[in-house]
Amino acid sequence: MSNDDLIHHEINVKREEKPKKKKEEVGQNKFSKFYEANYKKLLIIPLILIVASVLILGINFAATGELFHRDITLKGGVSVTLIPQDTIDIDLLEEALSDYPDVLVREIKSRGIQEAVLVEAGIDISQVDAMVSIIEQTANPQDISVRSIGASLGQSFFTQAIQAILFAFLLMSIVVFIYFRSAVPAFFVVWTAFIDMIGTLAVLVLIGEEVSSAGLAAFLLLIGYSVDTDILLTSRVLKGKEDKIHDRITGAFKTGITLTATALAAITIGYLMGSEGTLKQIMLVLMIGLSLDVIHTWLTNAGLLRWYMERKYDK
Amino acid sequence: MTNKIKEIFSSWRIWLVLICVVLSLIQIAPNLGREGVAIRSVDTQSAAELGGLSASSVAKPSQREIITEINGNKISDIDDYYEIVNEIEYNDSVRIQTNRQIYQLTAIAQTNITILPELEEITVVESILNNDTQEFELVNVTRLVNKTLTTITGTQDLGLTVFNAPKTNILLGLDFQGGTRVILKPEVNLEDEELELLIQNMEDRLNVFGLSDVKIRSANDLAGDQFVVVEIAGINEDEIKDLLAQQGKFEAKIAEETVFKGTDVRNVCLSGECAGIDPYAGCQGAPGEVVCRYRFTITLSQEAAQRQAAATARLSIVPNEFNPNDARLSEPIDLFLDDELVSSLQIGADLKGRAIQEVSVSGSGIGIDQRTATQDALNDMKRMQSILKTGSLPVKLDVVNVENVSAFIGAEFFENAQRVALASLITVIVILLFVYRKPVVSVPIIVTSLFELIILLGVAVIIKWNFDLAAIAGIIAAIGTGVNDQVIIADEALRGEKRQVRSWEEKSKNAFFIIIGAFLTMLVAMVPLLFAGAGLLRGFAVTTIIGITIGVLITRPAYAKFVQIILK
Repeated sequence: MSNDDLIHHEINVKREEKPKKKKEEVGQNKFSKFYEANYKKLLIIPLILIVASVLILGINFAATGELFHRDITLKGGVSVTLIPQDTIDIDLLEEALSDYPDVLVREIKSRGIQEAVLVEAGIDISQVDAMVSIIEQTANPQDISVRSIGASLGQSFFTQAIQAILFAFLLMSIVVFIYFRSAVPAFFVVWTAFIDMIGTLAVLVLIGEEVSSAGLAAFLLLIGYSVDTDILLTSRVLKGKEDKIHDRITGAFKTGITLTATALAAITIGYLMGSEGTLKQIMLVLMIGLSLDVIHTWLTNAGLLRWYMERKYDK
Repeated sequence: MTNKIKEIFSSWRIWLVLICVVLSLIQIAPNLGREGVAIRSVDTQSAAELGGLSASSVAKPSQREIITEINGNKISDIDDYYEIVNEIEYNDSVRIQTNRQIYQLTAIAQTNITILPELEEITVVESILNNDTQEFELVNVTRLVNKTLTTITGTQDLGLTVFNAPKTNILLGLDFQGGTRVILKPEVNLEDEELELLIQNMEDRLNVFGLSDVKIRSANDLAGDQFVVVEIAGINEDEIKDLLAQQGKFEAKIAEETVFKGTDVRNVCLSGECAGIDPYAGCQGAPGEVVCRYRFTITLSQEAAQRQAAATARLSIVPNEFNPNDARLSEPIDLFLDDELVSSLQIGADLKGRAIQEVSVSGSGIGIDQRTATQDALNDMKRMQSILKTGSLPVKLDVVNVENVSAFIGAEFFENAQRVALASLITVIVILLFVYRKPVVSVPIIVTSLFELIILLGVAVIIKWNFDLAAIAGIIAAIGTGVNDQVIIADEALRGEKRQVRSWEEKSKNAFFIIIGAFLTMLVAMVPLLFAGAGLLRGFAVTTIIGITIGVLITRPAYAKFVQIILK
């Protein structure tokens, strides 16, 4: 019996020590008070982000006719990965392939040594064999991997991935609405997930990343994770037992930030260490998305929710 | 403390997790110390096949036949295998020991046949229609042919395709094993029965070609389009897509009249006596462009042979001034594959009006030297043999996607993926230990997630799921959600300790409210992916869904129970 008391007491003591040990909570009281006083004004920050995102996507659309850049898995073409025996001459290879449209030759270097060469071209499957022979003869690689996707298949992947995302959004909104039985908070959750997505897309366009089918699948993952933190916040605010809404929010924040920090750290390690394109892009999308989610969940969603609660209950 | 341990082990939820983990480990059957090379396929008519080796498709990777010794030399991996095999000379006796039995083989010589200008008389047996009895009979016929000289040029490969013995029952997909994936679209959408027939036909074709590790499935996408996805592990051949995309309607015509079709072919010769590089035409041309001709014999049905006889009877003989023995008929026999002319053969005058059941099909291959031209010719021959032997496909197929991943690159990805997983795991452990100073709370989070991973892998083995990159992404999603949920439970349990206002039941309800909400949203987010885009991202959706379901039903409740007992 006494042992259990001891453990119980230890945990109590440790919990009170915890706030001092977390980086984000150094000077927590000051930040907390600042937030409480200015939470409505802090909504400016996410607003700026949203406007910036829409601008970036809009400019890209006006310039290229597409919202974001697609890679061959979403528009067709061929991608060849070469492992060099010594070093492959990029310029020579480009010249050898100059007859083909949209050819892109990139090298992947690690510590100054050429590790792999990627060749991409927007050609049809029927032309792939000929192009691959030219590549093999010019570059003489130790190893070669070829991926070719017909334009119609790539296009249908694209439309269907977008459909899948929209459909997922719809289903998710329904679930959240049924869960909280309150339209406005449910809307905030869906809205936050939406601006997370738009923001991530804008960043991808900004850094020139070409989105693949796996990248779009990662967006679905992002929606799932983003909704996770928003459900946490909303559930604590709507059903929490503390008197002050602000306390409910900070309580949720402590848990939520642990979730996001753990996920972000693991994903960042995954991105830095990963060598393969598909997996790396999934990590990249999640990295950007989760970082934005921190802002949007705890400033946008929290702010809007508090505003709504205060107006509703006249607190 | 001992009371708590007793309580933990009397909880059915915790037992459920432990039992699932044990069952999963049994299914996964990890055997990290296993050495040797597994047999993926055996080439037809090779030394290996003649010695009795075969590659049957197995239920689980751990059941594959593994070569452990060759001629007394221990084989631990693929490098060992090639080191030994490269030393083997023709006519050498080779003793291969596997985990099942011992095989004795004799290495076959590689030969080159040259045609000599001298003629000789040979006697062959042919099946010829007797016009009086109207029956086919075997008759000895003497012919005047060129002498041939057979020279031995080296040793033929044993004919085994091998890969490093699998250490677990987990099926690795193309992205990690290397191989070829071809997606084809039928010209018209087929009914289920026709689709099954098509897939069976394609499998047969690939088997005759010499590939046994073949997975073919159909897939639909959101737009209602039908696809056939063919995955062949360990092979990096482009010929596959030509083999599969060819519908295979075979026709032979003499002067525009069809004399026989693919369905009339009763047998296709695959063995060395009647199939291979044509000894009478051989290889010609200068280095830079060498052309090699191949030929193989097919046997027709009797009715087809008679039709051919009727057609040839109507032709006239064209004499040959240079060689009176070599007169021809006025029209050749043209062989068409899918309405494209494949070869055109002159018919010897002595065949006029005779019903011959054996017909020679020929074609050619080109290359920059004799070696590559020969290889090209033999590949084309294998393709023709496979198509003629298995018949034409019920519908025309278009190739819409081809992916070739070399085994080398695939293995590199796998190594990298494992390192990334380990690094992520360590990162998560460090952060959790930092946040929750009491290991009693944070260590179980990690242990529970590991259990979840093992159970997920176990389920994957049972449903024979292929692990490709998409599946790895799914694992990340599922485990990530799992850790999140456990943090929520832990936080809820540790909160409000000071006031102790709420009971465990309430805390549990709060935590699970959030957890189930997150589960449902992740679930509906993944469902559309099950159908989108020819099911290529299906691996992602399936692994995620299975993972989060295992989490919500099995591992999460167990963790909650554990925390409840520990913190009482």
